[in-house]
Amino acid sequence: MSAVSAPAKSKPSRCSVILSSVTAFCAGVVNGLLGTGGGIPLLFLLRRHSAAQDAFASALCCILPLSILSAALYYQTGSITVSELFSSDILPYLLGAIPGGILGAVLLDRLKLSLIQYVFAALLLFSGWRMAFS
Amino acid sequence: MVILQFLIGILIASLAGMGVGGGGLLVIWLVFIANMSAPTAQGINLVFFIVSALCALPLHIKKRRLPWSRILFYTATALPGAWIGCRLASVLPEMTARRCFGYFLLLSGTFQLYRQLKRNFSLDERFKS
Repeated sequence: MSAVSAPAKSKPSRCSVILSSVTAFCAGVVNGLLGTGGGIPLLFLLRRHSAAQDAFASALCCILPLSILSAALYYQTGSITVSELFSSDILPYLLGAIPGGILGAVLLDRLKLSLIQYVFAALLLFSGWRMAFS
Repeated sequence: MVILQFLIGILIASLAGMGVGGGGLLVIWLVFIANMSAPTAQGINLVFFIVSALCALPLHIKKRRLPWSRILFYTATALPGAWIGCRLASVLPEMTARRCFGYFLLLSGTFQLYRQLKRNFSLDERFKS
């Protein structure tokens, strides 16, 4: 299993349940509005109860149904079309997602977690700066 | 160009498959390099994430102890939020959506970096004492 031990289980208080519900709801809004990023607030919630690697995998499970719903709504509003997804401009990215997804699941146990998190933080800051100020 | 796109797909999907997310990197790439509109890039990013997550998930389910009751609870709570977010995305001006996304990433990155530095610092202190 995971290298980092999980915190001890305790019965959640009503306040904690409400806070978790609001955070999860906001994660859904972010994911729907921006097409990404909903996993970050969920990850912080899951990290309180699970080991780091288990929390990452759990966040992935939570976000998948949200992304399916969001993608369906983006399709409905015409932001994406099936022909666009299968065009030569987009298809190579989607084909790369197949080995990439498997590779990510394998690497999660093999790479040093702090390294992954530093790289991820640097990418977030760089991407955010480009998006907000360019 | 096709090979480069394929390799970028592998790189970003491996981050998504790890569960650390791609941080919207594909959105950045598609908007700044491929000159796509932000809503289209966000839609493509969603489909890209679905493909990579579906490939990674069987391995995670096989290897880990996942808290299914929590996962179901958070997902059920987040689904109405996702619906509202999508509706907002179709009415917000593109520049506003892009700026919102940028600020969100900056905030997340700062928090992530702070948390990691704090964790490393407290570990160092523990080793010293």
